[in-house]
Amino acid sequence: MALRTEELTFSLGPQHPSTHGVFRAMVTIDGERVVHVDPVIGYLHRGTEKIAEWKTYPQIIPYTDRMDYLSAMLNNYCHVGAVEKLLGLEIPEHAEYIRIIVMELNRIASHLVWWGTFLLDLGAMSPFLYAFKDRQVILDLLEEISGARLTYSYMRIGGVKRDATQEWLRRVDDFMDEMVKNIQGYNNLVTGNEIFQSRVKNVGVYDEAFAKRWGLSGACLRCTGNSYDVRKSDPYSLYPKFDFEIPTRTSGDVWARYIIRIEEMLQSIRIVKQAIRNLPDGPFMGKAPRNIRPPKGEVYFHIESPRGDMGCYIVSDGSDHPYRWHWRAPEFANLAAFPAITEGVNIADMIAILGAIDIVLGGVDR
Amino acid sequence: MDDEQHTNEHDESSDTKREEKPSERPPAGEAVGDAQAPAGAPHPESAPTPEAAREASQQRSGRLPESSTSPTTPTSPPAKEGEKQPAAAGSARPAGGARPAPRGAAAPQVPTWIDLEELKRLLGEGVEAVENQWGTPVVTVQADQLLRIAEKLRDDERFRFDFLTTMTAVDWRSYLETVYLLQSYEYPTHHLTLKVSHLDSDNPRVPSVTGIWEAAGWPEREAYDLMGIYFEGHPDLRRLLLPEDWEGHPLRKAYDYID
Amino acid sequence: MFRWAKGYAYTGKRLFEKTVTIQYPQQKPKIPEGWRGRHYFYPDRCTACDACARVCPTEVITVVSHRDPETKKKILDDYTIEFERCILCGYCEEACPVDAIKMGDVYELASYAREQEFMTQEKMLPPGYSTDVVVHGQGEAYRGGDYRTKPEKKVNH
Ligand code: SF4
Ligand code: SF4
Repeated sequence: MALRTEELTFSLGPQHPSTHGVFRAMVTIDGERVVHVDPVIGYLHRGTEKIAEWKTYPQIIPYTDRMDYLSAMLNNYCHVGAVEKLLGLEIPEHAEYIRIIVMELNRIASHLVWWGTFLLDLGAMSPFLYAFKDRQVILDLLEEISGARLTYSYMRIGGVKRDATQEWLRRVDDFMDEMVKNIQGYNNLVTGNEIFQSRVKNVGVYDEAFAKRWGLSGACLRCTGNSYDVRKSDPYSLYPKFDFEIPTRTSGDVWARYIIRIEEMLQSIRIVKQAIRNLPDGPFMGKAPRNIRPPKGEVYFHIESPRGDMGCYIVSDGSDHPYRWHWRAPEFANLAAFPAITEGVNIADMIAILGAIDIVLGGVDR
Repeated sequence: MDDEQHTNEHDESSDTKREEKPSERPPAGEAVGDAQAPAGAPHPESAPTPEAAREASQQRSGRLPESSTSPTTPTSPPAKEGEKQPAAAGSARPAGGARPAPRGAAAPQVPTWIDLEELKRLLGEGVEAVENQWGTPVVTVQADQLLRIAEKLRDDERFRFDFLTTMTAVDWRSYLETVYLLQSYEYPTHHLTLKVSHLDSDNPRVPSVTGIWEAAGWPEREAYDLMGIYFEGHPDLRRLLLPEDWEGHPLRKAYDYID
Repeated sequence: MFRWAKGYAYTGKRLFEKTVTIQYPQQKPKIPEGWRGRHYFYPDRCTACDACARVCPTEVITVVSHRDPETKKKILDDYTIEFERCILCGYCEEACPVDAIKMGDVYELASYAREQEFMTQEKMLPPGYSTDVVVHGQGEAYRGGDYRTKPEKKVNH
């Protein structure tokens, strides 16, 4: 006689520690199997797109900080880059190099948070502490150059807010050396651990066609063998001048996403070191008009955020504030595929899959 | 040293790409070996920006451009500059200028991958307008032809727009407009914006493209939520960001958000 | 095999590291230069040009001034910041041509009531300044409390 089972629906979150902020999922389970997941988002919706319609272009920059708050530098750049594209501004190379340094530092910091919290989801406590210790150093560095710990508002239309001192650059350079060693330590601690590996290997597997259908990007796409990374595929800023690689894997599981992010940190370290070594002289602020009034038209500018392809779509009506301002958050698109990935997996695996998507609810809800 | 070994060990199983160029792909430990700056050395060739250069004129322009302190004529210089651009094409930007090739190459003033006339011809009937916006072709189509054109854009060898980056809507006060920002995984530098324009503000209806790009699911729900556009054929058209009992659609220009 | 032992070895090594945390209330963190904390306002420098109020993204700064009938110069009457809505972006500091508003190093921003978050000139005085410099001319700015009594602001839309 077959065992009679019954479906059960429960609510995961909205303040559950493994949901990375205020994400809620209505989960239907049958025994240990997940039958259906219905994500409920919007708890952090602050109407940034509406606010942006009422602000001048420079005034929007602080609001972008607060969307994907773990990678505020990249958000700043995405908005600023879109406006610069509209205006056709030329950015001094020095400023662009500093931008790349801070963006890659921010990428490492963001990945460190992901690394710590992802392992926390899987039940490992100490990696979280180590990750935050290293992230702290990066935040201190960024705090020093921008004036704030998370909400940097560092980019300006036409350049950056402040110049980097030689002393600051040297400290970044030193820390990058240390960071390489630390990542080695992380690999000792976690990556090589068999228990961890059996938790993540062959979990949440999907193939490239699935990833394309759902419009995934970032590590969620590259784990299927596709090497799409905006920095290389559709280069912006000065990235073509840098020598770095895009880590890819083909297994399409949580393990692949994990390894890709670890390797991405190493690649970011490479970029930072190259940028510091080749930093040209020049002004940190280009010639930007005092009164920013882009011509009529619409523009889409996208960059590679730590979570994937982030884009800013601006419709300008020729005035000093955008007519419509839309944000493409990579984690929003990646999270949309979550119900499809988790169909039929175990509850514990569902948490691992959610952690590996690397969501930041500030970006999902905007 | 040990550590490198073990990461390699694990990767072999799941990684084919690495084996192709083992020397180039850095394992955990050695990533920056080749890119390393002379440790601890101050970087003499990149001497610091002298304080003087910083302080002089840059200080002023480094300040935040305020919106209306400077007396500006209605046609302010930046606007003029921008209007000129599409005509000036690439020639305005010399290769050795302050902004070197990359940005210029990424954002040419005309689409490099296709001619607009050709695009219009290829898409067939139902195309209302094709225009160039900062190097991205913007195609406005009729609502009843949207699905056919979308499918063509996704499947045709020439386009392969299999990546719907996002979908949004714009309220032009007298009418609404849906915007589909398309990209291709195969040709990542190709961009195309698809639009359905002149939707009735009171009862905007557009066929849903979820059947073509599954990625459209949530963005369409968001557009329904915030703009009030009905996507016919959407499998699960509910509010996404706002609570179910919210009244009105906040991204509409006419939305009164002050209670 | 025994790869997990490496993990233990790593944790063991990290156990004897120098601590990086500080004993907060007794020990204060070092604030880097140019950090964006709560404002300091220098009433003696302010020319009431209104640049900071116009550039502020959240529109929390109120500058009240009148013109001197003879010299046609603006004279500051009152200056307030509704600090509870300030996002500490530092734009006001950048916009000010005479450095009359500066981002300070105050970071303990918690308070028991919203009204306490309302910054008058007295509360924003930089260290070493006496309250003598505070200006209270004709006309008072919105002084917090009921939001509806706030004078209508020009919206740039
Ligand atoms: S810091 Fe920003 S939000 Fe706060 S008062 Fe200054 S300009 Fe306004
Ligand atoms: S604080 Fe500065 S910017 Fe603001 S009104 Fe006074 S002088 Fe002008």
